[in-house]
Amino acid sequence: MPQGFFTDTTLCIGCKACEVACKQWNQLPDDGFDFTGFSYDNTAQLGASTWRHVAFVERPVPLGGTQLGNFSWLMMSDVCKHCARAGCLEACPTGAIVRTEFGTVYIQPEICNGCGYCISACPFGVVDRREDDGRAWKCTLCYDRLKADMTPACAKACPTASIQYGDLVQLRVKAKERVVELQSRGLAEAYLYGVDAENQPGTGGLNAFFLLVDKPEAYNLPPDPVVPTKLMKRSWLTMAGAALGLGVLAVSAVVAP
Amino acid sequence: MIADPETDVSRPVEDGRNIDPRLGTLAGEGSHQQVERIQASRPTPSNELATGTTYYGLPLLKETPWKWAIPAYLYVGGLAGASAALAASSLLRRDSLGTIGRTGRILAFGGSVVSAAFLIQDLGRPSRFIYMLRVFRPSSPMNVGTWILSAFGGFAFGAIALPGRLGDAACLGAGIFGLPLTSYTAVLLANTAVPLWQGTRNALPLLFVSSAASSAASALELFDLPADEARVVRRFSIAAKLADILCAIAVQREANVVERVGRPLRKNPLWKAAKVCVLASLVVSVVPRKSRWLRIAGGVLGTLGAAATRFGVFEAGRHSSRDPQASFEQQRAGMSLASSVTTSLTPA
Ligand code: SF4
Ligand code: SF4
Repeated sequence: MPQGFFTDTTLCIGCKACEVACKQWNQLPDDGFDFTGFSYDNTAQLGASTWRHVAFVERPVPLGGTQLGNFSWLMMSDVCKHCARAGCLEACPTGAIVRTEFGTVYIQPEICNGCGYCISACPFGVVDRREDDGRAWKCTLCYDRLKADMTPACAKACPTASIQYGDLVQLRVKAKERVVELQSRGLAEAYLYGVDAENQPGTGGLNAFFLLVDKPEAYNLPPDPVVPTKLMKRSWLTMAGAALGLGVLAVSAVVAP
Repeated sequence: MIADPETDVSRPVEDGRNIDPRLGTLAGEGSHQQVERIQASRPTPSNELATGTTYYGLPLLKETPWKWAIPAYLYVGGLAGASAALAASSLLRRDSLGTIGRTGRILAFGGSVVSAAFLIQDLGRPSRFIYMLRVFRPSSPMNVGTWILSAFGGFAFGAIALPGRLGDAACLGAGIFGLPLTSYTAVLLANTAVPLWQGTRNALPLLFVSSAASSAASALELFDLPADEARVVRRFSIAAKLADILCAIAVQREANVVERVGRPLRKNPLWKAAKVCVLASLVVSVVPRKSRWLRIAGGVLGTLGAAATRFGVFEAGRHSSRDPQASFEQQRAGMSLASSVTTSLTPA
């Protein structure tokens, strides 16, 4: 049964407990301390050693249902989306990236040879290679914990249930109810991002989907991501035609008098 | 009792994991990640921020970790594939095309060895290169390409190592596998989220094939050929270089459909230089009965143009992956798969 995350950004308080819990449980190494200088977000991005990342969006715009004036502060805990059709998985030449029994996307570190193709194939810029390690890494959706019937570390640590883990079918129902509830409370902007294949046809839906209140670009999410493999049929055909053309050209250059 | 990090010698390297080995073991999913240097590698905000909503101008995508060896392979692999195709065709007129046949076979085999070396060198874990052939995966152009290159390399070796008929048969095999070798790399680049590469997915294979053909023609122009073989090379060269220029225009047009996507290619100095070199080399090839030096000049210009084409496309793609707006605009403009549906679901 596919399992997944529902990240309800309206509940996020930006405490970064998920980031810390993820680093600790997975025993991920340090990737350097730095001040970005633009917000409370000093993590800046997901990476080989950072599998949860809390984004802080500061906007001079009011948020529906609040009385804060011309200001709103949006927080979102970003993660690998475990796409139903994953660009990384379909591009991986070694078969290192697999779909697990929980419907999640998992990179087997003992197989990955560090070719780096998955990095360019992910439409969300999630997976990355740590240069001193040489392999590609990303969120495993706590594969080890799932096998032991435990909740992933980030969802367990989240104090506000902004990150919810569970059976994907139930999560979707819950999420849709939540949108209706928020809208009835005046937050008309609330919508779901990647909840299913109908919502995001390019990826067939995300096993880790989000409730957002601004357009995806504001959170550094692509508005209409597509798994690149879906677009390749014509490219392969063009390639075959062009290659045949080269054959014809070579033969005719030789045999012409 | 927690060990004092300053005095505990049994402690693993200071890599931020903060595990006291007497209290816990390294068994987490990320515990095998090796660390040599801890250093912040924060993405730099794109400097083309002028328009639209972004997240502090940070890139949406991760830049490819591929270094110079990959665009170099794009050139060498194309050269080897097209040379093999020409050598195989020359079997049809074996009596008179000895030099093209021999040189083509050497370029094919040499090119396949250099290609493999470039590809292995660029891996994060070079010792595991053979894992590329663990599976056959039609969804991964890189996997398909590795199989093509392996078969090509085997045949190209046979073409120089085996005697007589057997060698000719191997040469034919190399010629056949050389055709997709020249062009699968275009599909490989297009099958990414990089806006420029994805956005040129239809014209790029055409460009890579014709650029491979003009690489092989230019390489042969560097050699001293008998008159009838020189005629063959000239015919092949003019057609290839002309196609190369037309396809470069087609690639630029396809990229320009979304202004922001085509911008890094339009501005790329290598891409501009490539067009000038190929054009100049075409002009030289067209001149009839030229001196040996003029032919060599044509070959050098063509080689530079072909290499610059690959490096230009590669660098411009890297540049476009740094620009979040390029992806956003491409997807909002409906260039992605299903935007007609999604745009009604995601607020603009
Ligand atoms: S978000 Fe990226 S890394 Fe995660 S499953 Fe999708 S394509 Fe793969
Ligand atoms: S870097 Fe590893 S996981 Fe990524 S595509 Fe290459 S082999 Fe697969």
